[in-house]
Amino acid sequence: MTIKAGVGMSRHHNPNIAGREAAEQALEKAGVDKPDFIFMFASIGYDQRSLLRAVRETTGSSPLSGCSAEGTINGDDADESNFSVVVTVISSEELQWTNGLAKGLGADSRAVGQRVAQDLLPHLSSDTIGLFVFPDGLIDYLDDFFAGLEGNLSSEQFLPLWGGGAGNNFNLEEPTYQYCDDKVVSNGVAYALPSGRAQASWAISHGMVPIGGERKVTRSQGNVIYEIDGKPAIEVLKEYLPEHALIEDHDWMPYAISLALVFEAPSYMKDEEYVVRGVPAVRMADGSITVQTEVQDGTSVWFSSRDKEKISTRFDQMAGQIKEQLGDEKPKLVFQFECLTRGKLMFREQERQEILRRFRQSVDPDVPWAGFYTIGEIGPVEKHNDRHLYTSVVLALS
Amino acid sequence: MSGKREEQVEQRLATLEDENRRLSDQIKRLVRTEHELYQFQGQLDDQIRIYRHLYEVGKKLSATLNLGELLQIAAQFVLYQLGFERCVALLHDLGTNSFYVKAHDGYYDEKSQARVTGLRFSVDDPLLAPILADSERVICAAGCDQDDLIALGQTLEMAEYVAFPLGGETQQPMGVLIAGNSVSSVAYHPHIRADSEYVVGLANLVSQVATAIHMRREIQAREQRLKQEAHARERVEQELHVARRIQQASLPEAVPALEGWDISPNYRPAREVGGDFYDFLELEDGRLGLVVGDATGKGVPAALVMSTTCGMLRAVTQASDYSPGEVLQRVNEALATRIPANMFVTCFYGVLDPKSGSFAYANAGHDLPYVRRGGDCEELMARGMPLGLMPGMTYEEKERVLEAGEAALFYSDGLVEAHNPEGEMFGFPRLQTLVAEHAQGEPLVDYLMEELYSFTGEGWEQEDDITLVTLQRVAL
Repeated sequence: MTIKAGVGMSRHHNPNIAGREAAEQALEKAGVDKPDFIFMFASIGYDQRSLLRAVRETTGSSPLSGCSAEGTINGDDADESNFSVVVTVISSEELQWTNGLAKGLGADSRAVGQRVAQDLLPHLSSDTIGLFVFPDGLIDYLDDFFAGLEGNLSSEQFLPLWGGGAGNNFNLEEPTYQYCDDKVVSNGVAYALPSGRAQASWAISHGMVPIGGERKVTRSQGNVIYEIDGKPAIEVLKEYLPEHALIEDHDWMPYAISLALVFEAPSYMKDEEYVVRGVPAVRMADGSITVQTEVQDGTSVWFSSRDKEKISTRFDQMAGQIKEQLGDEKPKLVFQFECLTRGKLMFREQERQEILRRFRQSVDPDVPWAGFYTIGEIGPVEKHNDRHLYTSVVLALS
Repeated sequence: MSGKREEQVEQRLATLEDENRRLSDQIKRLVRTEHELYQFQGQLDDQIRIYRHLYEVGKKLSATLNLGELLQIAAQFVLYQLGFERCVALLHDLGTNSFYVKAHDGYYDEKSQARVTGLRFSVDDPLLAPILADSERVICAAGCDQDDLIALGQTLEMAEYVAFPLGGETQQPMGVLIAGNSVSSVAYHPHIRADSEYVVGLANLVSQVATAIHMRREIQAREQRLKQEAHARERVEQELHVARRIQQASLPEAVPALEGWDISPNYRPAREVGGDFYDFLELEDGRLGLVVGDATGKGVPAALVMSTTCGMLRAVTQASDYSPGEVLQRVNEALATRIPANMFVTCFYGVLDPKSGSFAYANAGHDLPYVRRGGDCEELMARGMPLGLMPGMTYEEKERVLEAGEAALFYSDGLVEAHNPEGEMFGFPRLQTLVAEHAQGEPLVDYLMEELYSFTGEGWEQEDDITLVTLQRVAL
């Protein structure tokens, strides 16, 4: 099949210029005037509507999907400032695209999942490749969204989901943004469904290692843990923090980047011993911690921390997995959805660039490559779609 | 027995609890250290990036002579390396004594863009007063309650800002650089704080910009001076050309041919034309009037005075048969009322009767001519004030006969006042000796010029006109 793709990037602070620059670059690199589909990932410093308008004025009325991001990725070049935009244009006679936008994710994510499924059902076919999803990253709990979506699709055909949560400079008080064609919304999910003759190859890995011993959840409800090992969960959490680090609820945020919970990985995860779940919030009032998954009493948990060596090693493994899936095919376009905790919040600039460069070299140094730093990465493991954390999800289309 | 076992279990439990506490403490330290490490490395990366780009921007600032381009480079650094939302650079306009927007960067909507671009502040505008009064910087941070600072922020659409005067340590600042953030975007840019590394980086930039502007202004001033000097030189050259033409036009085109007499003039103008002149006037009865003179000063004024004097001398001698003293007296009367106050003319005038060899003369303050007689040299002495100094002057007249073989030398001060590389003057005694020692054969004028060149050496720059005229009665 023939996929023409090009990725453009701009760091200009003026949204009108940045959008135009990035779109023009992408069109030029792809060698097309009128693309079939456009992805756009942009930092949060821009006036989002002006930026989208500038991209659309350059690319024409081709369908578009994307979201605001904690940072953007264009090949080896990553930018985690508040001002960068990456535009990807795609043109292929053998691909068809359906895109959409659903709002109200925070209020009832299951219902949103159902609405998305209903919108997609008429467009699903045997050659549907998968679904890109870009939900509001600040929604702590997305399991219901997946349930609402997958529960209303055909159970005979697994629909892989890829994407990442939209960011907003890690500011809980401000909204994130999702883009669909000319629309910009918050508290929603943007999605794009490609169908046609293309192969998708992907790999997922996290870079967390457990610290300390096994702990048991002794009291929980939904995705809130009240007690661990019979003690208030917050007191157990404090054991891993400096003295007086946690006094108010908001004191937790800086530590949420580096400290997470890991659970025993489900049996279908062959490559991972643990599955990571973040702790997005704590409540000093009742001593509880919020986890990004439902937790049953008696569940074993470990506190965990990021590990540079593991991240690097796992990138090598991911490159190998993708190449193995590609076989003799060359990738035509690669997407990378990278957790924000694996960027400047962990690596020095040169380290980060070197890791990205090495990974890209291993996969294909010449392939157009676009992505962004996410709050929650979405990708399937075996036949299970999941929202991961502290993770990299990489997808190659060929 | 069981008591001992219980004690052992208790001890073991205590040991494990100790170990657990140590491990827990180590984990806490690990998490804290890791957290601090990641924060520190982020700050370090920012600082390295800022200083690396400061070095690069310094090179760019040095490479441009255009003030607008220079300030635009600075504004882009403020946005793209320091991360502030907006930057406005004002420059002082000497003509209107006001500050205007020379460059700005950062996103404004179209309406605001046009307004900000056209901003102009008088030097006594209260909005700028706090900045112009402070030689370092003015910070309007979040929560600032100074009305004048807030007002400037509103004008520039900045909720927080830092403003630096450019180069105002000892004088009126050449400009003002203001960097800041609007209220809607403040979350996405570095906050304005005195201790922020971004504000420190900005201070470094401002220092470089001020130096660069100062250098540009120095260069521009020097270029202006050079241009003015070149213009002045061109004007002088034109004047010199005019003066030279006036002088050339006043000198006789031909030397009169008198039987039994050899008249030989030599005129060598200096680069900057002086006021030397000589003339031959054909009088009644075959007599010849001979004039050698020097108008004070140089250039066009000297040439005009010299030309006027020549004309007057011709007019007076042709009007009547005046004696040399009367001629000088009449010319002095005419010249004294027309010549500028600080100018005068020295002039020797003699009348030769070529048949008898009689030479009557008068002198208006000119260097005394010499007469070579045998191996000796005599002065042709006659008293009289230079022409044009004051009216009512009379001029002593003398007369002598030039015998066969005798030669008279008339000259200007350019000869006797010539200097050699050691600063020694050619002088009257040397000239007198040379005239006395000159043997028949080689023309006296050529001989004296050779001696002059020998005295001054190579590379001599002639300071004044040199005029030599010899009048020799041919030996029988």
